Amino acid sequence: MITNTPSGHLKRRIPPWLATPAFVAGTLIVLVALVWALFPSWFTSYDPIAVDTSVRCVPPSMTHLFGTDNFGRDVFARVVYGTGIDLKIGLLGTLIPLVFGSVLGMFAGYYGGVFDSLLMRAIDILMAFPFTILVIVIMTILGQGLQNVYIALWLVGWIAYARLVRGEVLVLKNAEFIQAAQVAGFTDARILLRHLLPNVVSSAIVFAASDVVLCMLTGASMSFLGLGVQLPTPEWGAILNEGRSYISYAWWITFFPGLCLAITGVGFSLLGDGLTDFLRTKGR
Amino acid sequence: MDKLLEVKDLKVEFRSKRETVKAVDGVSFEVYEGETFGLVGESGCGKSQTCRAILSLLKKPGRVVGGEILYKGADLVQMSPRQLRSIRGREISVVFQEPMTSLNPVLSIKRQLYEVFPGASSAEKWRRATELLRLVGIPSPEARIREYTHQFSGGMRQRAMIAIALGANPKLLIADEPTTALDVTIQDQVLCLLENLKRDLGMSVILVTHDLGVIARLCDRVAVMYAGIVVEMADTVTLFSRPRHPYTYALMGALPDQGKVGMELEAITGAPPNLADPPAGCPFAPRCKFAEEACRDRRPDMAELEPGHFSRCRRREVVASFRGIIPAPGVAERAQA
Amino acid sequence: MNQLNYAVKRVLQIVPVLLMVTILIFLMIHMIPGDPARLILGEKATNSAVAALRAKLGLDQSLPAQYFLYLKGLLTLDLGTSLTYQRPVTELLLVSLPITVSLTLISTVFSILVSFPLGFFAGMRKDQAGDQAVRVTALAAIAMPSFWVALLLMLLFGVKLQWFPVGGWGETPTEHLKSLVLPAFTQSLMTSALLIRNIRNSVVDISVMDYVDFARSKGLSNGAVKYRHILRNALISTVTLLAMRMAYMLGGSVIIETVFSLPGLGKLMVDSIFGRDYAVVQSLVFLFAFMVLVINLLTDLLYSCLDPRVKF
Repeated sequence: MITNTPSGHLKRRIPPWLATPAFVAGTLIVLVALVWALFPSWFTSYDPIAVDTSVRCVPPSMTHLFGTDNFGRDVFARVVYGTGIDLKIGLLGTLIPLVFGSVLGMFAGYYGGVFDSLLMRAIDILMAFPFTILVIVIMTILGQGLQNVYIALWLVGWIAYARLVRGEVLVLKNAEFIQAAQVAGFTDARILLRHLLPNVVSSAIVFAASDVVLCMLTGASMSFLGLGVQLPTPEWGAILNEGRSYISYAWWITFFPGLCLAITGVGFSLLGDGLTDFLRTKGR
Repeated sequence: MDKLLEVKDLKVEFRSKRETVKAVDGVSFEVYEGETFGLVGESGCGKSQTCRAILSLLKKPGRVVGGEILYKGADLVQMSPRQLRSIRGREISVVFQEPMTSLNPVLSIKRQLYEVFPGASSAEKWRRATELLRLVGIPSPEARIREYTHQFSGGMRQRAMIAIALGANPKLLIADEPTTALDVTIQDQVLCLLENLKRDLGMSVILVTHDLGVIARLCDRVAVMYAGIVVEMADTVTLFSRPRHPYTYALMGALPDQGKVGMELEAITGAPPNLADPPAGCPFAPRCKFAEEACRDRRPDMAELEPGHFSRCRRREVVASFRGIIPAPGVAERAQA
Repeated sequence: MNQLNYAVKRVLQIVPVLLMVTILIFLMIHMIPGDPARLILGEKATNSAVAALRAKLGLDQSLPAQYFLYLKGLLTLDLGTSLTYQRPVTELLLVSLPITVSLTLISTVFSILVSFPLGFFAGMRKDQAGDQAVRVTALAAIAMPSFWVALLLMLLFGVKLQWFPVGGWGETPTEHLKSLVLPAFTQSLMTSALLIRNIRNSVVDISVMDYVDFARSKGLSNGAVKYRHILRNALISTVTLLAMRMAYMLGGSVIIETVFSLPGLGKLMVDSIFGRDYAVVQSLVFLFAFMVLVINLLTDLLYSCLDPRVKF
């Protein structure tokens, strides 16, 4: 961003929202997580599923940063290898509902009519169920496994985006620039894509940042309950679950995966906050 | 007449990380008992901020950074919050421009009226509240008092706000663009109301507006503001018959004049200066037809051209020839002679 | 009068939604793989025995017919028998309901007590140290997985310090309360954090509104301005968020009750799913949905009391 300072010189300045320590911290955390996810072998030489009964339940030390679990597996390795799974759950679990729900909401808001009534009816009914309950029931129908966690998240997650985008479209529909485009004879597709979409997408994206956290936590919760990933896949929630029985004398098995979940969640939240500020200063 | 309010060299700044905006840069005027004083100028000239400063209601990050505001001799700028609270409502009250956002949407009009009578009994509150609503011309006050802001029309909301502002019998009412947000027909009604109130209650009023017509109708004396300073101040008749500042003259020139059918309206070219980086000299110089080099060097001081008539223009000879839009008293007869 | 009209209208609106909910639940349970009759009788049962049970349970009838049987059962509160516990489902639900309700209520109260003052405090000090501190803490709390916090709290306060029971419900009311402390605290973490953010933002938005300035110009005391004008208006949108969170917490009881071994609806749900006790699951899901709809109804009514723009 180039600004004209009073002295008349041109200077490059970092936009204030980008320079906040919060946003920087958030970006760093997410970057670290991404690197762990993509190149786990850089960070640990241990095999996350290799059993070694000679080192059961060893506390954290220089050789085993996060200690070992009841099977002698290195917890740090398991956590690092699990990063990819949890990140994928968070990101993919959000992406599909974001796209699908936003499109549905946009059409419903713009065209109204039967489609809109049906959609709102469907949303009303689905929203009568607590989020976690609905996910659990879907998992019960589909069965265990990571794949089904995605499907459950997709089937439930689109609702929030549909409502959000529909609400924004309803407001904007009567705005003058949309009416002008209609009068000018632009096709619906063009109005929707080039005029409406850019204006409603920002709040959906902001919501998506917090949704990533929710999806990660829900995925981990399902694994924690035993409904998600299959053992011995190192997903953070699953590792936590494994550590439950040993918590009084091997707290590290439970502590570190949860800590990583929390920190990654904080990272995405900070990113989301930074995005909100950015979009606010840009004036939508 | 006694001096009720005296503003002396008031300075208000809005300081942010990037810049400091000098919204009010040395404004002085007086308001006497029983008179209606007008503050006129275009958007951004600082008239609203001056009013807010009087009651210490500047929105952050605005701050009073200099000058005095003497009410009955006491300096409001130096007062503690508690002292200010006893002044607000009871001595000085304010009516804002946009009645929809100035009234609390979730409290009934009744509750908002009752707030100005703390300590009175319920019966007393009811009596005074309905009386006030009747005074400002709201029909069936007993029924309407229970309603909410969104159930009132624009004109009625403005009347309700005036009623609330009058509740504690202030000596000075500050009306910040009271008719700007209203339809023209409603504007007239509210202005009539203000005329009647002025006559019946004998209150002093500071009337802020960008509309010269409102000034002409209601004000006894007026100050013209531009870019955070007062450029001319006089009583209304004098100002309209003998403007003595290029800005005032240009404002009047921009009015549709009934006599000059077919001629073009004279707009003032250019734009007001950036108050974060104000020019060194007269702020109007860049847009002034009569500006000279010296005008841009130093801001002219306020000079009293005749008793009660002040102007901040160096070019005395030029402004002396300005003709106003009403004939000066006595000139018409002389012209005919 | 308007209030009453609105209330009646809202209550009537629930009925069609409830009906659709039952249809959805029926279909979902129907989609769960496996033969319910065989599940009840076990793998070793003969085919004819299974067929007989199917007829008895009405499983051989058409889908709509089965649905009406189910609906009839709901309306007469005849919800079948639990496979794992061999007791009427109604009884099981009634026993577990108070536990989950107390948990949710206490968590909500905790959250309100913590978030209202903190949110207001932060909002009035926008961008200053106090505001930043509150926001950072809230941000951290939102991202913490409930089961992680639950286990750590259990370890610290239950096992190490022994202030609270590690699990279970206890016998006496006092024991009940003590066993609810850690679970309620865990649940209220995320809700408090979200509430704090919402209240803080509302207060920030409202404190610069013109009507706040106008209220000040009347000479009102600071307290009157703060509470009657700022806080009251700020809380209106919070009510909606609170309803959403309560609904979410009902769902979250599944995790919390499992970790803390509280015999509530959530734990019943998990146990029933793993025990393939689908009669219980079916009624449980309906009960959850019913509770959410009631919460939403009450919230809407409360909202209409607070914001007169809704009624008129």
